[in-house]
This record gives sequence, structure tokens and C-alpha cells, in this order.
Amino acid sequence: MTRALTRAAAAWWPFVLLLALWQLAISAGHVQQIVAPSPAGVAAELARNPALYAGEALATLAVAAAGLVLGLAVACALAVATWFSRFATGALTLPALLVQSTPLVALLPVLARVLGYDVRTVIAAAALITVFPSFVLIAAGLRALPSGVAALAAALGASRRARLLLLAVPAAVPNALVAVRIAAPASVLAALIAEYLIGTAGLGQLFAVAEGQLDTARAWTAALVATALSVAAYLLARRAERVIGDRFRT
Amino acid sequence: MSAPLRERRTAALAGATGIVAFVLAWEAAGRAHALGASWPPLSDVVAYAADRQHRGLLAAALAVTAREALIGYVAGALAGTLLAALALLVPPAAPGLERFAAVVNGVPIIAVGSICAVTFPPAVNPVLVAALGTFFLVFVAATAGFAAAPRAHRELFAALGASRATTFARLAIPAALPALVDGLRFAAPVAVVGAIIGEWFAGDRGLGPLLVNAMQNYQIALLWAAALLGALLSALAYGVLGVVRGAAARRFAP
Repeated sequence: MTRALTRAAAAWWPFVLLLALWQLAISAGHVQQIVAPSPAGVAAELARNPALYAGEALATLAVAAAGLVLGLAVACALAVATWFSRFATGALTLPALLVQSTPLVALLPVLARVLGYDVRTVIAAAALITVFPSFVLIAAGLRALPSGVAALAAALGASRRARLLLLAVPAAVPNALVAVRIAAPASVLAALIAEYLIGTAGLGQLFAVAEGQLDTARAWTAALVATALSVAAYLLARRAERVIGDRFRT
Repeated sequence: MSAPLRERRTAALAGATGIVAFVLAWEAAGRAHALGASWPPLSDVVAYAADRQHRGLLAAALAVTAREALIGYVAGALAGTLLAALALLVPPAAPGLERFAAVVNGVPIIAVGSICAVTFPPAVNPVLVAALGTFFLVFVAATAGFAAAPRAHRELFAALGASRATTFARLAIPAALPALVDGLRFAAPVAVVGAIIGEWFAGDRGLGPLLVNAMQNYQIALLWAAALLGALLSALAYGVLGVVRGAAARRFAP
């Protein structure tokens, strides 16, 4: 019993620390109630409308998941293209860097004009944020063979296709799992920002409406539920990395 | 000329051709107005940025953003590496440190931006956002890297009775280097975009406010010039770290 408690404390102290700092900041009076509610205020708000937050969280989660899958698929395709050709590496890296170095808040108006002010733009935003790190990681993973293996396969007459499917892809699995660990929480936050700016549903839109009405308790609860989703996505991806990754390591 | 060197030179040439192809495609699309008025030809953007009236403003903004991104990057990379090393050396602390990194990464900027703006001076926020983004990516890359040591090597170290410190210094660190350098590499653009986002929400100088101004006043050339400068800054850092990565990968390949 005490051991389980110790283990739980070792795992979950960051949340306790965060709550304590938050309460301290509120109590010390540095932050006005109109700027930020107390932890108790947020807990009460969540208890008042559990169905509302569950519904909006599900909406955000669905959009983020769609964006994550789309972004990972694009990243895989780009990484395979660079595996086949250095020309593709040169042609793709600069635009990828341009997209990555422009804030999502600046890209969104452009995206919305092309895709429309609806859920498609939100999915595209969640996908876009995941592409670059996943692309870099998977492209590096495809080349992460033990030295000599690629040369041996070539000497034995393996086709490029066979080398990709039988050597490079399995070698890239650990890196791809790291990519998911980075991309999964990022897609939730990107979906939140996109919903905040242009969305018609989800936690981001809930946040935007509450902020407009100066309902800070509701705005903060929406943001914290999004943070919880992002952390859950990270921990889930971490577990998958441990379980699957071990089978692909040498 | 040795074969690997020739291979690398051919690869560099193919890469450069790819960059040229992208630049030409952008120019052609802009000239043909294929994507509307908000997508100008690249030469227009370059001409705007090189114009005597604008280049001082853009250069000053770029310098501010580069400085913030660099400070945030170094601080975030150090913190990420140290915490990942701590998680490896003190296994009971690992789950908590993982959650700490995930929570730090999961706080939405749209919620805390206004609080940061009233709490910290405007010059600090961009550095903070750049550091947090870098921290998370480097932490993830380092934890993945530390786990990358081949099982046979780990068992050998254990069988020979190596201490935890020896195993860390002689096995975990060399095995982690390629993944860690990869993480440092893709964290560079994240530090740049973090600095710009920090400026956007809670700063007063740099490329971020330029982007906001350009968007609000529909100054397309300024918008693209500022975005392109941010991308070039990222590309520079990314390229330099790519050279480092190549050296690390050759030296520490499994």
C-alpha cells in the first residue's frame, strides 16, 4: 500500500507542484481573479458542466487524431522520397523549414482561405505541426542501419525496394515511435489553436467564447482539459514506444 | 578522391539542385498568380527585403529574434539533456520527470500568453517560449537516445560489473549522441518559431510583431519577407547542425 503510494507520488509530483504554484500565485495576489481563476474555481467549473467539457474534449481529440494520422502519413511519404533521392531532400527541406518556422497563427488565415473556415482547416493545422519533426526523425531512422548492412544487401543483389521494405523501414520504427511521442501532444495543441482562431467546435472554440465573455474560469478549464489531453497523448505514445520499440532494437 | 567523399559531394549537388528547383517553382507560381495575390513571386519578396527603406527594419528584427532564439535554444537544450540524464541515472525519478516535460509542453500558449505578458518583461517571453519548445524536443530525443544502446552491450557492461557512472559515460552517452544531435537539429527551427510566437503574444520587437503588423495591414511583401527571414535563420541553424550530425553519425554509428 505504502509502496503504491510512493510510486504514485514519484510519478505525479509535477501536477501537485503545478497546482501548488498556481494556488500560491493566486493567494499571493500577484494575479487578479479576472486574469486567472484559482484551482478550486476550475475544479468547481469542471464539476458543474462535466458533459460540456467531455463533449468538446472529444471533438478536439477526434480532430487532433485525424491531423496526427494525416501528418504522419505525409511525413512518411516525404521521408521515403528523401531515402530514394538526395534531390528530393534538397527540394523538400527548405519548404518544410519555411512551414516549420512560420507560426501557426500566421499560417492559419492562409490555410482557412484555401480550405474554408471549418473542420478541414483545423485538421490541416494539426497535421502541419506534426510533419516536420516526424519527417526529420523518420528520414534519419531510414538511414540508421548498422554499418555494412546496406552494403551487404546491395552486394547480395537486393533491389532498392527490398532494401527499403526489409532493412530501412524496420530500422526506422524506433525513430517513428519517437516522432509519435512528439507529434501526438503537438497535434492536440495545434487543434486547440486552430479551433480558437477559426473553429466551430471543440475546446479551442469554447476557450475563445469564454475569453470573449471574460469567463476566465471556463476559459481556463477548457485550456487545462486540453493540457490534460496533450499529456495523456504523450504518456500513451511513450508506452507504445516502450512496448513496440523494444522489439525493433538490436 | 575516396568513394564516400565522392558520394557526399554528389549528394550535396543533388540537394542543391533540389533547393534551386523549389526556388524556381515558387517564382513561377508567383508570376503566374497560380495561388492568388497573397502568394507573390520570390523575386518580389527579395526585392522588397533588399530595398534600402526596409532592409534596416528587417535586419534589426532578425537580429532580435535570432538572439532570443539562440539564448532560449541553449537554455532549453541544456535543461532537456540534463533532465533526461537525471531520469536515466535516477530511475525512480524518471516517471515524474517524463510527466513534468509533458506538462510543460502541454500548457497552451493562448491561455498563458496574456499572463506571461503581464508577469514578465517583453524581452523575456520570446526566450521563454523558445526555451520551452527546445527543452521538450531535446528531452524526448535524449531519453530515446539513452535507450538506444544495443542490448548486448548493456548486458556486457552489467556482466563486467561496470558502475552506473561508467555505464552512463562509456555506453549511454556515445549511444545517445546520434539521436541527441538529431533532436538538437530539429529543435533549432522550433526555437526560432518559439521566439517568434513569444514575440507575437507577449513581445514588442523582432519578426513576430512585424508579422502581426503585416497581417493586419495586408502588406503581403513584408509578411513573406519576415516569414522567409525566419525560415532562413532556421535553415542556417539546421544546416550547421546537419554537418555536426554527419560527423557524430560517422563516429558513433552502431
